[in-house]
Amino acid sequence: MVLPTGAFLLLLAAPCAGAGVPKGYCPIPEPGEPPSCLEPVRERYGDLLGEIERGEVDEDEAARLEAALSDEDGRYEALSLLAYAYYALSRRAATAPHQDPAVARRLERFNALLRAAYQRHPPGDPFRASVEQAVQDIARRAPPVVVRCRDARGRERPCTSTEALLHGLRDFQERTGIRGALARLLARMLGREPR
Amino acid sequence: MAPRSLLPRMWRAARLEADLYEEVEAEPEALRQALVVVLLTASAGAAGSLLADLGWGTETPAADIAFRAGVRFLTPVVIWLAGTAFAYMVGATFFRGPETESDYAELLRTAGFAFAPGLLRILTGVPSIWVSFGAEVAANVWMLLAGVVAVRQALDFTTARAIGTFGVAYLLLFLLVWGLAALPIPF
Repeated sequence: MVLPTGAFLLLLAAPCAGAGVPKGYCPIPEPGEPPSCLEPVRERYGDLLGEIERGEVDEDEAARLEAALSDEDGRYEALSLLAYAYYALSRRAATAPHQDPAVARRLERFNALLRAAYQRHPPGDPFRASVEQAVQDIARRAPPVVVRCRDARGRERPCTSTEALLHGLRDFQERTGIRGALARLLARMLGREPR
Repeated sequence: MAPRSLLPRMWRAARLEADLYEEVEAEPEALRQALVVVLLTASAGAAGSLLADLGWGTETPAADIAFRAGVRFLTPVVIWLAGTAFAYMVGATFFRGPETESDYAELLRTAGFAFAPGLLRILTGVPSIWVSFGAEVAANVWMLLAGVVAVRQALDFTTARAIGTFGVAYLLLFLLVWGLAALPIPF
C-alpha cells in the first residue's frame, strides 16, 4: 500500500551497543555521555577520530573513511564515524566567529557521500535504514551550518547543511518506487522534463 | 446495516485491529468509506508536499510544486486501485490458502482502510525537515503494516502469505508503471 522504502527498518534497527564490532549505526553520543559504542571505531580510526575532535581532518584519513563507506566489513563503523564527524565539525563551525569555507566544503562532501550511500542500497537493505537513522541523528543533533545548495532550477543558493542533506534524501524518495515511476509516467504524458 | 462512523473506524484501522478489517470485508457499503480514507490520505500527502515546497523558502517553480503535489495525490489512489487488483490476482491464486475466499471488492475495502495512517503525511509540510522526514517514514511504515493486515484479513490466510502477496503485488505494479513510463508508447 505504500512505498517500501526500507524505512521501516529505521524503527527496528537497534543502535550498536557496548564494545565489539558494530552491527548497526552507532548514534552520536548525547552531551556528557561517553561515546562507548564508538570504541570499535576509535580502534580502527583512532587518528581520524582524534583529528575530528580537535576540529582538523586530514585529507588522506578522510579519503580512507569515504572509501570505507563502500566496504562491506567496515561500512557501519565508517557511517558512525562520518555522522560523528559531521556533528563535531558542525558544532565547531557554529561556535566559530567566522565560517571556515573548508568546513562547509567538507560538510557538502559528507552530504554527497551520505546521499550516495543511501542511493547505492535498495529499499529494505539494513544499511540503507542505518543511513536514514544517521541522517535523522545528524538533523537532530548537528547545529546548522550554511552550505551551497542547488534549487530545482539548478541555481546555487545558501541553505543549512542538514537541510541540504534531508532535501537530497527527500528528492531521492520522490524519484524512486511507485511514486517515482508514476512521476516519470505523468511527466511523459504531460510532456514535462523529467527531474 | 448502516455503515458505522468513519473516524472511529480509521482509528481502529490505524491500530491494526484485525476485527475492523473483518468488519469492512463483510460490509459492501464500506467501499465508500474506504474511498474516503484513500482520498483523505492522498490529500494529506498533497497538502504536505505543497506546504513543504511553499514553506521552506525554496525557489521551486510553481509548476513543479503543483506537479509534485499531484503525484503525491495520485500515488495512493493508483496503489489502491491497481495494487489491490494485483494483490487480489496474486493472493487468490499463487498464495491462496485453504481458507481463502474473497473478491476484489472485499480487498478494496480492507486495503482502503489500511491507508488511514497516511494522514500523518500532512506533517511532511511542517517546516522542520526532521519532523517532515520522520512523518514520511512513520506513515510509510505504519501503512505498510496496515496493508499486510488488510491483505491477510481479506484473503483469510497467514501473515507470511500476506507479506508475500503484498511484496509481489507491489513489484508487479512498479513494473507496470515503470514499463509504461519507459516503453516507447505514444500517449
